[in-house]
Amino acid sequence: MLHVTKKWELFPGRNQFCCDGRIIMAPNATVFYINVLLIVGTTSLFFIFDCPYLAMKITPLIPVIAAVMFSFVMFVLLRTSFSDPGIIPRATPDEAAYIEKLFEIPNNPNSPTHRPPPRTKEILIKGQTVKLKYCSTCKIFRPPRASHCSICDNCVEHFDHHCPWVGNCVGKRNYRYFYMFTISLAFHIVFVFGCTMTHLILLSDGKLFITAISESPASLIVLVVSFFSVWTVLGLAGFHTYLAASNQTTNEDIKGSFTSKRERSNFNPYSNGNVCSNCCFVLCGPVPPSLIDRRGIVTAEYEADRITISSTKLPELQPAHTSTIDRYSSQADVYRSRDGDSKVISKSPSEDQIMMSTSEKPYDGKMVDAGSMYPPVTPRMSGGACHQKAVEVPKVISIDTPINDIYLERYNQSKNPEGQSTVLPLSSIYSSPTHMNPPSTFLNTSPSLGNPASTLPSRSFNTSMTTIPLNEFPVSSPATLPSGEEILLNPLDYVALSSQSKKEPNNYLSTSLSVIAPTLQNKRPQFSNNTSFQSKAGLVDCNLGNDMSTNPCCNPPIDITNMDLDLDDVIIPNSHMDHFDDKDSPWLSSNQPLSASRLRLLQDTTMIESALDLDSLEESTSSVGASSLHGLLHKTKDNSSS
Amino acid sequence: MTPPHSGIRSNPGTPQTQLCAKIFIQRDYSEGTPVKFQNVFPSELEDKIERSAFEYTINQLNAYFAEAETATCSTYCEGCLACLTAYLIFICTETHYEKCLKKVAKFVLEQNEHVYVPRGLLLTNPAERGLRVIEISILDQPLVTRT
Repeated sequence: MLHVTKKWELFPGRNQFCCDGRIIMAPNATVFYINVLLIVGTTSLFFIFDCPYLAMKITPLIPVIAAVMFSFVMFVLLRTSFSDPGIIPRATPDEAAYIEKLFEIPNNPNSPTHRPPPRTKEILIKGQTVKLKYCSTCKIFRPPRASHCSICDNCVEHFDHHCPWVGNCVGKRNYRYFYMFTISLAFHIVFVFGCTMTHLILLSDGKLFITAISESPASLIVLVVSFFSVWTVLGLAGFHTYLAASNQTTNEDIKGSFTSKRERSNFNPYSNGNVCSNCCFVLCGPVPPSLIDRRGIVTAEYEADRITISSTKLPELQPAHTSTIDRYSSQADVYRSRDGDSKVISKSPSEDQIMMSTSEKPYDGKMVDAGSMYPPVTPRMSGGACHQKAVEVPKVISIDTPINDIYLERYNQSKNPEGQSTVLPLSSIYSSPTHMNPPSTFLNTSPSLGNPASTLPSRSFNTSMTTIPLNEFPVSSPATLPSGEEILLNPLDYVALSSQSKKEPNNYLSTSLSVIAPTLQNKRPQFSNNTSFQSKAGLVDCNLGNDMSTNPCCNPPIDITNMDLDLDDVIIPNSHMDHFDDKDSPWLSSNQPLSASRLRLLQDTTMIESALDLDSLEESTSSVGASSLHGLLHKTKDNSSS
Repeated sequence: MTPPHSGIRSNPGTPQTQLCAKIFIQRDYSEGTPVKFQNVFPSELEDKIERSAFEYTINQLNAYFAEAETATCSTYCEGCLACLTAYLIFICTETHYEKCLKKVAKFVLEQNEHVYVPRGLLLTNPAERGLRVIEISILDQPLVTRT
């Protein structure tokens, strides 16, 4: 039978799905299972050991009531856990690009302190100013009351909290179920506790309480469990009753969104006025539909739309403990002869693997300031973030060579069908004289157009790559390059290249390429020399998905394959000279970190679009922190062994 | 997972919207979180569609969503009944909101057929975009190269 791909299979968040998408849950539901076990186990003990006695002694209604309550609790619990909490689907690339355009604030191009425009939007809701934050993961301005759940990696409408006990977020769609769960569970526990207590008291009639316990030891377990849980559940039920009555979410209550502060009166603009109507609206109001259409069938349009999202989200797919390097940075080594010829001569696998694309690195020195202005980001955020990260890499993990020049190589596919490419040396933007050396190393990368094996999404107009040769060599002016002679390094080849054995002679410059996650950004600042550093819709057809078998370094689930053509792809070759002993290498002396001003300049020129809000930062640091450490260790080990 | 696709496989019958310019009508939150769209006429649609036709569409959509979101007696009854059955009733019946979304889908289809497609535009059902935006594709205008 032909397998039809449904949308839940391509869902960009971290949720897990069961029953062909009917059930959606948080990625880690262990606590939920413990919760279910506690409720079911305790209630079973109650039914087995207490109910028969109570039914005989008092009334047969007791087991009936308990059964009704128990089934209500379980149905509502499962409903809470298995339903969509109100996930807001991520923006399509077009929509994200449209939003990006809103950010474009006319900025003085000569200003050295070019800052990213603020990524918040202030709106008025019933006279109350509410700040909408931009979610860099979902590429949307979060609607009011929505928040990004870092565990499930989704923006959730009317976000209350992520509840591990129910194994799901609690949001607009399942808040009423959750509320009913807490209320009914509170009643259920109180009922069970009371009945068990009665049972033991009746048993101990005239005798010691201990003897009653020895007669029915299971009752003691039920008693202890319900005694300890009843307080928390009652407290929770009370708290949520208060929240429902005031039409707030836990999130807003904790943040104190509606408490008056600094002489500004704050009120809840979402409240319906009085307690009763709030409760009714929250608990019995219209049931909003699920917006993610989990069981819809994937169409070509849908797939094309989601490509960007999945590829910009790469680091998220990665558990922190696996070797993230290999998955995200497609390694390719380009050996060049030293005569300055611009041809790529041969290729071999690199020895160093750099965690560039997935590392979240600490900022040190001046970078702290820069970091606070431009918060650290994971590569999935934007290409600018990748730039920043790439720039930092030599400093933090001490790559042998400093970055000397940046070329923006613009490969205009639609306008130059012959494959002509324009190389814009950017060295002129650097004020530091040590970096005014003319370009030498060329890595001409272009998408594998016309390659039958390639899986180019056909939306491409322009493709561009930014290559950063890391070393200086005899010069060959980019202008003299005949466009036809440039060896186009098909990113598809990267995989193949890196899978080659290490038999290659070592007297070449080896350049390791890291293909970094793309961005939707298309706008680059204007530089002082009026060179328009435009990144056109770019594409790296880094076909890791298909050719994975050839590359032991790359693990399958990378989805760079389907990068959208609206993306800028950044390639940073991190090179080192294999034939140089590291200690004697002249480059070691030039291993000094980039000057702060230069870093700033680089950031200013490349980081414009990478502003984030802190919400998404938290999650990115937490998800990537471990892997970055891993990468650093890995790198240090490599260095010391070489 | 899906096989990697090469090129676009377009759905037969639906106009190709991948490569054309698009306009996004954003949500209007001035009255809170209920779904409502801004009915400000976008300048990009100037001389492509009459202002009145555009406003009629947006207002009509807003009306449908308002109908879906306002809590009337029947929705309260529905909610209470669902609660009493431990929400099992939702398995077999359609909620009021879903009925309204069907009306929206029908309306969008009809507007496309009579108003938008003849003018080289295409309206996308906001439910397909997570009720965040109304997407209007300008079919005969290629995607502007962004600089």
